[in-house]
Amino acid sequence: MTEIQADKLAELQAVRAPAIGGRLARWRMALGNAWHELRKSRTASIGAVMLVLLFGACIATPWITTYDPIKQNYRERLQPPSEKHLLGTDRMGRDIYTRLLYGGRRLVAIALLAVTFGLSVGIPYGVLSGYFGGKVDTVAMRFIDGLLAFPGLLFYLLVVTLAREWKIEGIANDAVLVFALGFAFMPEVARLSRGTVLAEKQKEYVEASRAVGDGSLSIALRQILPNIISPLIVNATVRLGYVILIVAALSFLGLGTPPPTPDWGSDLAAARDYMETAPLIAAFPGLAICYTVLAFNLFGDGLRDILDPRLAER
Amino acid sequence: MAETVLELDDLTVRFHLRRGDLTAVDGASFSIERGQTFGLVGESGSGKSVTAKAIMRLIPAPPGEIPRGRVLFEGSNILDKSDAEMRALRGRRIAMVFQEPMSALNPVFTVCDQISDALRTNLGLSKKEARERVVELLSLVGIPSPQKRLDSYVHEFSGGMRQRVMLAMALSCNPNFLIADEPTTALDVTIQATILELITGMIERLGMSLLFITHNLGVVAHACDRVGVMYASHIVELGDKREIFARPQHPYTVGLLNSIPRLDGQAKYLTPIAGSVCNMMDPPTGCKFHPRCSHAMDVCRREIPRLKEIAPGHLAACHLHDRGTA
Amino acid sequence: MAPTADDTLLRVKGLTKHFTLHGDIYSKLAGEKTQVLKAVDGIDFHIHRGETLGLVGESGCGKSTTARLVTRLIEPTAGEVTLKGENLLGFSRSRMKEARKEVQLVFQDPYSSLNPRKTIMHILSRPMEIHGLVRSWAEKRERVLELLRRVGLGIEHIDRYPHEFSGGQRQRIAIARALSVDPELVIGDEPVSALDVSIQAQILNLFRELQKEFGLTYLFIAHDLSVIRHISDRVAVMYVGKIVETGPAAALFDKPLHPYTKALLAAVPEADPAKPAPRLTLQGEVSTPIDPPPGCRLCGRCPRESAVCAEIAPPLVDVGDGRQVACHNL
Repeated sequence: MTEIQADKLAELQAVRAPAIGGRLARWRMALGNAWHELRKSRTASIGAVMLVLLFGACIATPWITTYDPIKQNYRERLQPPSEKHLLGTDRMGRDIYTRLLYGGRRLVAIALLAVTFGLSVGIPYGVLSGYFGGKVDTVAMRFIDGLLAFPGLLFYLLVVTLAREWKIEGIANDAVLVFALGFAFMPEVARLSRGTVLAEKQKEYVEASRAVGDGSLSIALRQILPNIISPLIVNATVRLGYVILIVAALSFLGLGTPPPTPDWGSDLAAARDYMETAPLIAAFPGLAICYTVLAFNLFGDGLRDILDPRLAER
Repeated sequence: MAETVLELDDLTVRFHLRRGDLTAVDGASFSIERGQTFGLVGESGSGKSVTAKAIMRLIPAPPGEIPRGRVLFEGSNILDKSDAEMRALRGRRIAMVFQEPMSALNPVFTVCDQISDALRTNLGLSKKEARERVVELLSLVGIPSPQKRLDSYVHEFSGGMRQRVMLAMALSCNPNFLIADEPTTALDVTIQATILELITGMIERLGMSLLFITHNLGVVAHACDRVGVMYASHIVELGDKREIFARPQHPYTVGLLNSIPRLDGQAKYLTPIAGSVCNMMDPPTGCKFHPRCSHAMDVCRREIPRLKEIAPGHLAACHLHDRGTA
Repeated sequence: MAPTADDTLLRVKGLTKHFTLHGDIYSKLAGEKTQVLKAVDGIDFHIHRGETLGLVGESGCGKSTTARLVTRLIEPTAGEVTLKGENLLGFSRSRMKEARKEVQLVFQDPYSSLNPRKTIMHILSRPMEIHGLVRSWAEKRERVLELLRRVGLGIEHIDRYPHEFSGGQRQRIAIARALSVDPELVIGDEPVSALDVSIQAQILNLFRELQKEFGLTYLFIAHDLSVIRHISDRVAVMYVGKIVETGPAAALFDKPLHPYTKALLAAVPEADPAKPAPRLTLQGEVSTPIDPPPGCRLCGRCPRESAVCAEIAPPLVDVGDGRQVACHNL
C-alpha cells in the first residue's frame, strides 16, 4: 500500500467512527432540535406537554391505578371524590378515575391505529397518483372524489350497524371501527399528498434523479415522499383529535362498544341519568374528551405554524 | 449648479430576527445630484435593495430598525417625516421601479385604472383627463398603439412591456427622483437594451435623478454617472463611473471586474474572488472583505476601514490606502 | 486524437418537440383548432469529443427543452439523438438507464436541484448505487470524498444537508453528482446564471478544470453571451425553436453573420464604459413559438428582410470555416 492510500484509509476511518458510534448522540441531538423547534410556537409547546401527559397516562395505566375498571361494587356506588376514589365512583360502584384511564387507553389506541391505517393507504395512493399523473391520476382521483362525496358519519353508522348485525364483538368490533375511521380518512390523505407531490414534482431534483437513471418508484417514494411529509403530519395530528371525538360520539349514541367496556362516550351517556344528583360523573368523561381533542388540535395547529416555511424567517 | 437632490448620511438599517440581529446597511453615505444617475452595485445580500427601501421608508418595523443616519431629500430628513408627509412624497416626488413588474402591478386592474388612480388622487385630475394622460405616458415609454392597450390587464403584456408599464406608472406624477431596483434583471438581453435606453433617455429628457440598483456591472457601465460598490452592508468604493472602471481602488471592486467573462474572449481562466460572502448574522471583525482578500493585513482583521478620498471624488474603504496611495 | 468520424460524440438531427395546447372543452366544441407550440423545431447540431458547444438564446427559445430532449427527460416529437453512433431514441428502458450514465445534467437552480431531505453523502452516492459502480460502503464513501475534494469541498461537508450550503457550494455539489457516474457528456442548463458574479467565475473555472482533467465534453446552455463566449469552443445561437447560426466561438463573436446574432451581441452591456452602449437593432418583440408562420422566425423584426423571408424558412447552410447560417440575405 502506498503512503497516499494509507493516508486516505486513515482519513476514511476517522470519519466513519463517529458516524457509527454517534448514532445515539445523533438521536439525542434530533430530539433536542425537535424541542428547540417546538418552542417557536407556544401553542405547539402547550399541546406537546398535554400530549406527553396523555400518552404517559395511557402507557402507565396499570401502574397508576389498582382498581378493576369493569368489576361492579354496589356497596360503593355514586360516591363523591375521596382519597380512596380520586374522582368518585359511578352507578355501578366502579372507580371513575380507573375507567377514565382504561377508556382513554382504548380510545387513543383506536385513534392512532385508524389514522395510521389512513396514512398508510392514503399516502402511497396519493403519491403514486400524483407522480405518474395522466390517465392513472384522473381515474384514481375520480375514485377519491366519489369516496369524499359519501358523508363520513353515514358511513360510520353503516359500518357499526353492520357489525352489530353480524354480531361482531369485543376486539373485532374495535378493529372494524379502526377500519371504518381509517378508511374515511384515506381520501383526504390521498388528495393532500397528491397535491403536494404535484408541486414537488416540478422541482429540479426530481428531474436530476431521472437524469441519473433512478426508477420511478424509487423517485416517488425515496426522493419525493420525505419532502411532503410535513403537511401530512399536521393533518394527521388534527385528525387524531377528530377521530377521538367521533368514537366518543358513536358510543355516546350507543353505537360504539357496548358496556361494560370502559368508554368515555358511553360513560358520559350513562351519567346523564344522574345529572341532577351526581353531575361530576358526567363532568369527568366530558372533560377528558375535551382535554384530548384540545391537546391534539393545539399541537397540530402549532406544528402547522412551525412547519410553514413562510414563517421560518420571522 | 450641482444641486444635491438626495443625500445619505451614515444610514444604518438593522433587522431584529429570531436568530439574532442582522445589520443590512452599515453607515452608508453618498449623495446624488440633480440630473445624475447613481449606480449602486453589489451582489445578493450586500444591502443595496435595503438601502433603496430605506429611502422610500418601506422598511417594515419591526423587525427593521434605522438606529442611526439621515436621508436628506431636497434638504429635509425623510426619516423625520410623518406618514402623511411621506405618502405625499412617494409617487409625486420619489417613485420606484421594481425588478418584478408582475408582482408590483395589481393583476385585477387594467393598466389605465392603475395608473390613473395615482393621477387622480395625487394630481386631482378628472377621469377623462387622467385617461388622456395615461395614453400620453404609455406612448412616452414606447408602448405601441397605447389607445388599444389602455384596458388590458398586466398579464396580457410581455415582460418588457410590463416593465414599460411600471415605468409609465412611476413617471405618472412627474417625480424628480426615481429609484430603479434591478429593473432589467428579469429581462432578456435584447429587451434589457431597449429598457435601458428608455430609462436613460427619460432621465435626460425629464431632468430627473436616478438611483439605479443592479448587480450587473455592464449595466452600470452604460447607464450611470457615479457608482457606489456595496459589499456586506458597507459601501466600499464610491466614484465616477470612468474612474471606477479604469482605476478600481478597492480589492473587491478589482475582484468583481476580474470575475466577469468578456465578450472579446480573452483570458481562458477568470480570476474569481476566493471564498464566498460572509454570513451576515455573524460577520467577521474589521473589514468584512478580509477573509476573501488577497491583500489582507493584520489591521484589516481589527478595524473597519472608513471611506477615504483617494483621488478627487473617488473614495475607497480599504486599509491599503491608509498611507499614501497603493 | 485525430479527427475521425468517431470524433463526434453527440449528433442531433431534426430534433423536434411540439406541444399541443389543449383548449378547454368549450373551445373544442366551438370547433377552434388546437394550437401547437413549436418549442424546438427541427434542429441539427453535433459535439466533438472533448469540446464545449455553447447553446445561447433568449428565454423561451427552446434551449432548455433541447437539454431535456437530448437526455430523454421528455420524449421528442421527431428527430434523432445519436450518442457514440447509436440512436438514443430507439433505446429500451434498461438500455436507456445505462446510457444515462454517459450523459449528465447540471441544472440552473442549485436550490431546487438538490433534494433538501437528503445528505450530501446520499445525493452523491445514489447515482453510483443505481449504476452499480460501488460494492462496499467504504468504497462508496471514499469515492464521494474524492468527488467532494475534486469540486473544492471537504470531508467535513459529507454528512450535511443542502440547506447548510451557499448557492455556489450547492452548484459544486450538483457538479459532483453529475461526475459521480463518470459521464462523457455533461449538459449544463444555465448552470451559472443563478449565481453572483464572483461565484460564477469560480464555477466557470471549475468547469474548465474538470474538462481538462476528465476529458469531458460539454453542452453548455446559457443566455449570457459573455459566459458562452468564455466557456465555448463552438457556439449555436437559437431563436424561437430554430438554430440560426453556429460556428467557432471566436469567429462567431468577432464577425456575427445572422441578423439575430448581431442583434444579440449589440444588446450586451459590456462592463467597460468605453465600449458602445447596448442597443436593439431589431424591431418589436420576440416572436411567438405558438403556430408560427411558415417563413423565417425573425420575419417582421429583421433589418435585412426580403420577400422570400415570409414564405420559406431559411435552412442552415455551410458558409465555410466551420460556420453555418440560416438566412436568405447574407
